[in-house]
Amino acid sequence: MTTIKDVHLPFRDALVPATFRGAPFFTEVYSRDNGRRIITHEFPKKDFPYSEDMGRRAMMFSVRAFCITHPFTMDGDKGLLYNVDYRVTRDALLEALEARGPGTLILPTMPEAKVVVTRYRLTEEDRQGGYCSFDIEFAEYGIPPQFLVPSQNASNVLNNAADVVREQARLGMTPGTISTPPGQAPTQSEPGTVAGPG
Amino acid sequence: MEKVDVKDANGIVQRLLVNLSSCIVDKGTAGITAQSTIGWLRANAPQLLYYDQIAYSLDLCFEQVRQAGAILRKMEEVRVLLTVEKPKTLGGTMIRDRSIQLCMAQEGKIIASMQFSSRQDVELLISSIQQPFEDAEETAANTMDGADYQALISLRAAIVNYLVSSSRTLPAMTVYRFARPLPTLIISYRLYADASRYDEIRRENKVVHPAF
Repeated sequence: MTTIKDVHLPFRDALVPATFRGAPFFTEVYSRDNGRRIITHEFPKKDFPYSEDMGRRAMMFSVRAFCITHPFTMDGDKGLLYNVDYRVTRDALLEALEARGPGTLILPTMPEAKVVVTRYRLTEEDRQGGYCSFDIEFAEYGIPPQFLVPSQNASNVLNNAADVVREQARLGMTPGTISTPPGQAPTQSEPGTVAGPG
Repeated sequence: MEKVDVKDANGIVQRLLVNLSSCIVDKGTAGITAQSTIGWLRANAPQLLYYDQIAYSLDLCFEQVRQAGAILRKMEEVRVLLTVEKPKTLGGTMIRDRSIQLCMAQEGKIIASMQFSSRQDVELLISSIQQPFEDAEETAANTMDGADYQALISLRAAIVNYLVSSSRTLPAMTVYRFARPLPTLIISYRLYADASRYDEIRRENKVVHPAF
């Protein structure tokens, strides 16, 4: 009988073991939370609101990880995850979660991310001996502000914004011209019949 | 523009151009070009105002004055002097408000080329631009021209964004007092154990040369 595993699915070839700061763990449920920081402005006596984009949100990851006893201990690095004593895996993961600073999070189907642990919950149950689960919240580490330098882009944006105001001012001084939205080419008025300087 | 408006607006333009010419720092080609354009516009302003054709020339004057080395403080002075103008006609009001916008645009361009030495300088500048922008935005809002208002908002945002990103890499200054006045050379040696930083201390404290 054919099963789903007999069908070649390319994503299975790309699966990687889940790790955080080098500590491996099993996971079956994980999610990534992200979006844009939008502020919606609503104006009195107007029917249309304006949702202003204030930039990308920080990525948040929620991971349900677990460590479980394996029938035998594998050799080499795999022994950390496939171990007869699940506490070896659990303690390595605990150490990774409590270490200071950012770490690299690798999830089976997602690109690796530099994150920090905001909180985690370790759950152990007596009736599930040899098994423990972690509910972990990660936040994107990003870039520390002291490493951010004013980009060429910020300077260009400022110069462009200044040019738009100039265009608007010029248009406003020339009655009869149609005001164009910012960013569009203005209609330039020349001195006309008056001879130029020099 | 009507003759009565031209008379009112011309007075504003003439005073503005005199103030603008005082901003010129450069003694070379850029300075001479700016002076020449200002002189030409002063002579032709009434005619250009009458035919509603002053926009391009006035903007050119602002641009050339900035290229001739106008500093932010001088450009601010020009703007402040414009805000105290009391036009009596619609034409005069329009010229004053639009000139203020041109001034602010040039201030933005000057800020984009400025170098800052401390975070306090940047914070001071951010707080100093708030009120003028609020006033200009209110004026733009009252004209019911959405594009004007949006352009000013964008300029203000771009300035603040640029300044905030500039300030991130700058040191925060602390106040340190000695018991008596000392030469910067000695202060530099005492504070940093490095006498060669005396010039930096003078610059950061904005010491005015007593002879000039």
